[in-house]
Amino acid sequence: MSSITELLDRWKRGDRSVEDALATDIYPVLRELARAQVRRHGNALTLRATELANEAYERLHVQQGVNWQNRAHFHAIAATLMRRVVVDYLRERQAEKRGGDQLFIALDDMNQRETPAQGDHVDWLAVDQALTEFAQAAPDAARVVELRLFSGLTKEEIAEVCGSSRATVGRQWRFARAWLAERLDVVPGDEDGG
Amino acid sequence: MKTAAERIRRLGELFDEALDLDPVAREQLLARCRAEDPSLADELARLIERDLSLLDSQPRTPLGLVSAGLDARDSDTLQPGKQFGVYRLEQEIGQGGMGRVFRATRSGPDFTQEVAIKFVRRDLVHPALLRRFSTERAILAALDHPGISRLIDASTTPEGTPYVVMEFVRGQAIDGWADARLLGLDERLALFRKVLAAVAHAHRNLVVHRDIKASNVLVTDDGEIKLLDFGIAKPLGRLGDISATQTMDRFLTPSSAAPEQLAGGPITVACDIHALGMLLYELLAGRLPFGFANMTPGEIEHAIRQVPPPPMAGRVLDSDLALAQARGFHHVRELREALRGDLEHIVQRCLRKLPTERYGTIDQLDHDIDCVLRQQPIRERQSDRWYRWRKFVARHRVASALSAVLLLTVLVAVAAILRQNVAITHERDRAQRAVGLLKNAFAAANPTQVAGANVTARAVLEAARPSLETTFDTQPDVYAELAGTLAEVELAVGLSPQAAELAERARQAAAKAGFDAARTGALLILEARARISAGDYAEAEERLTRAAALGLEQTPEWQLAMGQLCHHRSLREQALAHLEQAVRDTRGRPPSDDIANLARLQLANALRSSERSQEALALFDQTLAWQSAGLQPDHPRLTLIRMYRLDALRRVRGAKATVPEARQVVEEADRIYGKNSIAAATARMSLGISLLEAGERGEGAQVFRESLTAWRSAVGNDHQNTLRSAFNLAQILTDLGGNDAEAEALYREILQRGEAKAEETRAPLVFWRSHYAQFLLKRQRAGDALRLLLEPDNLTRLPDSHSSHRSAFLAALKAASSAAGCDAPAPRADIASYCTTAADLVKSSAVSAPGTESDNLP
Repeated sequence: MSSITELLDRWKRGDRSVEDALATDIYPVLRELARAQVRRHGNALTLRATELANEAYERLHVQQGVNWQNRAHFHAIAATLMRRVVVDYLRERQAEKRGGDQLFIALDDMNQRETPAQGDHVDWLAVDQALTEFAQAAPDAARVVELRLFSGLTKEEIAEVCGSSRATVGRQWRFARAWLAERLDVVPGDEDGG
Repeated sequence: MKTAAERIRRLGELFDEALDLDPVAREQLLARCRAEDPSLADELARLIERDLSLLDSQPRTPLGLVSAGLDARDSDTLQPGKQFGVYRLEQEIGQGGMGRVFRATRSGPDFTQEVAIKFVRRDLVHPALLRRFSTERAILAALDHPGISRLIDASTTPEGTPYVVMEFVRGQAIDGWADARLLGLDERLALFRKVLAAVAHAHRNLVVHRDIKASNVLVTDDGEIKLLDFGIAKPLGRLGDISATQTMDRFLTPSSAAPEQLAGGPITVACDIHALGMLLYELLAGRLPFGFANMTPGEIEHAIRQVPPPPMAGRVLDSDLALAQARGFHHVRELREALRGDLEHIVQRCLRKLPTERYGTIDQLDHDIDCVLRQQPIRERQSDRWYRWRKFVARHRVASALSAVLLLTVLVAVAAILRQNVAITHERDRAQRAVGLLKNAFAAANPTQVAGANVTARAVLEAARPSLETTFDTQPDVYAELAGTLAEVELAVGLSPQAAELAERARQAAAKAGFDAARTGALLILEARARISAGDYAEAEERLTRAAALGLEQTPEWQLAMGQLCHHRSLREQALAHLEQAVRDTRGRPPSDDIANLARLQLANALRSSERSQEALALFDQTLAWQSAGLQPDHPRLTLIRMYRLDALRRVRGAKATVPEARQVVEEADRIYGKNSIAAATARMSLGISLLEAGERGEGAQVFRESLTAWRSAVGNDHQNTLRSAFNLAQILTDLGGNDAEAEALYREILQRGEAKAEETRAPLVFWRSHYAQFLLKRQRAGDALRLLLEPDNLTRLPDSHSSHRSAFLAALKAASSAAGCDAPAPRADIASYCTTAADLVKSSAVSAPGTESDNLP
């Protein structure tokens, strides 16, 4: 695991070329945790990105002594990977079961309800696809979305990680959120009023 | 034609621009845009509309996607009717960011209790903190106050969801309750003081609530208050190095957080004071200082950390007639008037941004409110001295939580204060405060009051000594008081020799300081108890004689100590007489009185040793009933009494009938005190004996193994109880057969440890070696047995050994020398000299009488 620490140091110094190598090291950990989580829940599809990220952090930091600069540092790296884990997992599931998309209720249906009922699921593949498209036009805003959805970071921490201000992150988030919601045609709510 | 990406970028720019515009200007922007590219303008309009609807909609989750899908709850398993363990879920009574709350019933053998169970979302809990919480929950469980909803249990469901079980309270949130009854300001203050009393009790036990808010303070129909969720915010409060903001987002109600809580600063009583200020503000003015409901978390954080709270009167609007009437005023103006002055001063002082500038203790706050109610002016400013003390307290995080580091800090700091005080005698009251604080800290660490903290307490005590010693010469009176307390705690955690020595020092200091007879006598009795526990009976008797000369002979404390001494010396009749008197003389005392309780338990124990188990059992039952009357059905103390009762029960009803009760006691001890506590270790020994006697030898041995593990962990490998427990297990394993390697390893370990710490552990080494020798003999290793018995250390100890131990030694020696071939005409060369020594010993001790002491269990 010392190699992770080393890669992290380089990443921290701005060397983005090490990201792939880092991903290779961390991705399996996240995937394993995700599988374990799904198993724990009797194979129900309840991937919880925040919980996973925290578990991964605990495992790598606490158990293996990987020296993250701080928690935000870790989550910033893990968010992209987390997104991949979720998407890969779902693709796998869909390939396993024909018509695997019946696992998800259509996002439209959620409009009807006041609050999401327990067990509602999200079409993450659609989210992923839309986000990829969005990223080509607005990579920074897309990164903010990725961090919001796939890490446990707060807006302040996201601003710090992105080297931007809280206000900017808030604006980027509002635009991305509106665009994605429009794109996916959902009427979602918001936790904090942006 | 723009590409899709260019289009999105352009939309982004326009959207960004629109964000800063008022609705009219925004329409103008859209119009300009429409002239250029109508479809782009339409899309922009839709995005803006989306954005606004997203802003308005209340707490749905970002994108409506994330939490719903990713944070799906353990919904299927938790529903009314579900039974797990002793709990049965009845009704869901709440759901929030932290998890879900159910009303449930807990069924015991002879009671049914309504409880509230909080299931915590797993992703909100840090595993390490949850583990630590399990050791602290005993402290919370023992937080016994009518105004505090008690923590009953904390554990994890089979699915892995952590939950806490609390006393269920039927009541209404304090603000609603007061409004519904149109309470005037004075009545509200009186109600608030009840809240203060409950919080003060917790603070005295070093527990900080951390999340006081109106919805956590319920009022029952008869007007009594109950605080919910005491102390449980802590294990859920911080995830590793997650920033305070994150913490706030997740757990804390932002409006009840103190500035330093948001900044990740130390959690102290000052945080609770701040939260109480918020509560009082809301209770009086009908609103919190800031309109949190319409603020973002960032704005809330800013307000709490930076913005001074507006005066209460300023938060009351002209249109607030209903609010004024709910407080017994006819006009808004009258309410505003009443909120100015001292009340405003009190509230503002609670809400200072700097913890050091708030009230230092609940008592101070309560004092000022009392002044208002009695229409006396409050002290405008505390004395400078008190201010500095408060600063010290805040700086050292006193009472922030129970931990070794914390207590150590207190001790060291207290000693530092005492040293500084040498030249400033008029600051003695400050030292007195320090003493009080220290005593409270110890009370919280005292395992007879709260278990599970044994190791922590020991570590603290050992570390505390050096700094304490520095006050011996300069302030003997303070030293005597502190050392007495410290000795009491040391005695309780089983450090008897240390306690005896310290009590003696305390007594010397008391003599220097010129303490009166009563206080000197009390220290003498304390020292006697420690000496008894350490096995120095002659010394103990001498101290008791001196205490009697000071006129303390007729006190229950003296009688109790004397009874214990006689009991240990096997003077059964005298022990019973003294203990009976102690019980008689404490008859009027409440169930919470330690001496009264201890006297009864000791008497029952003495009765049991005198083969009067029927009476012992009756007394245990009677004590249990007496204590139950004043305590919750599953109070830790009741478990302890039930544990001591097991022995008598076994003798009266038989081992088989005792096993089920013993199992229950073990389970309770595990739950309340933790699996590696002294209580759990002791309870397992009782269960183990019952199992062995009932013929369940395999399981009995296993239970003894667990008991030994618990002893090791609770008091360390070298403690006498650990060694004795290991010896018992070795014997059981020897009898059971098939575990020779394990048994021999245990024999070797206890001998090695016992030799190293012979004085401290009072290890009956001669007795143990004799049994180990028998073990070796049975396994055809007579030479080893002989050498073991005739070790120089063994021969040195032999003359001072108990007669029964000498008999065991001689029996083993005879068997070993004959098995080793000493009786042969020419013994082997390597053992010849041993044979000679053995023969001499046997000859010279032909007159040894069989002894009586055989009870080797600690």
